[in-house]
Amino acid sequence: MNIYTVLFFGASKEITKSSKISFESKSNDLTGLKSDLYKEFIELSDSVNAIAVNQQIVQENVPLKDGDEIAFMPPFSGG
Amino acid sequence: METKSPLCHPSQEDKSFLHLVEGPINDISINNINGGAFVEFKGIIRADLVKGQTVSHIDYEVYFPVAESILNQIEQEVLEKFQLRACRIFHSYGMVKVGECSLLVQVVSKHRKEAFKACSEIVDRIKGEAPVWKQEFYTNQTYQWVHCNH
Repeated sequence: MNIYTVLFFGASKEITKSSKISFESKSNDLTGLKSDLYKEFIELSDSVNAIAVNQQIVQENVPLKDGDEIAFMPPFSGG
Repeated sequence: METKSPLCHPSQEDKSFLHLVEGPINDISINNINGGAFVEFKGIIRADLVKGQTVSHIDYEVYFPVAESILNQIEQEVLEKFQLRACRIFHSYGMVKVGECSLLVQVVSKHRKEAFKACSEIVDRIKGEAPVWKQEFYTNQTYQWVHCNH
């Protein structure tokens, strides 16, 4: 079992009711973690537009390890 | 619209950010311009009317280390692309009231055309690439997260 630090921002954290959680998952990659997380927070997948792993924005599936930080981010609205 | 935000900003472990400013951005002078052209863009909070409610302020949420890194990357890439003499970006986090500045871009180049193009490209890239989120508050104490499409 891995424990990931998962961050949420903007409208996404309204769904999870938290900006930071420790999330346990057997998954060893991002696709698996997303699947597990979206089961827990059903509405989350609709609000997420970008994901960062250890502060690097990723476009596709990547391997994960225990302790990684994963940020689920809604569409940006800076400026 | 929600009535009250129950959540605060993520903790900021390192405050030594060059591009992120808490609250409104005041005038920042740029020295040794060594001209020709100096173009400056300021993003100012508008008192928009949304569903009958007037905007009072915006609370900017930022993914700090990633936003800082991306703003720095944009600055360096545009500096090189347009062969600028100087380029600086400042973006607010936290509360910025109507009429206050939340984004400042300063560009210095030999000629005006590159300066205008570079400044416009920087603002477009910030809106598309920087992990920053606007929480718009209204005069009746309600708020909503803003989804930009401009």
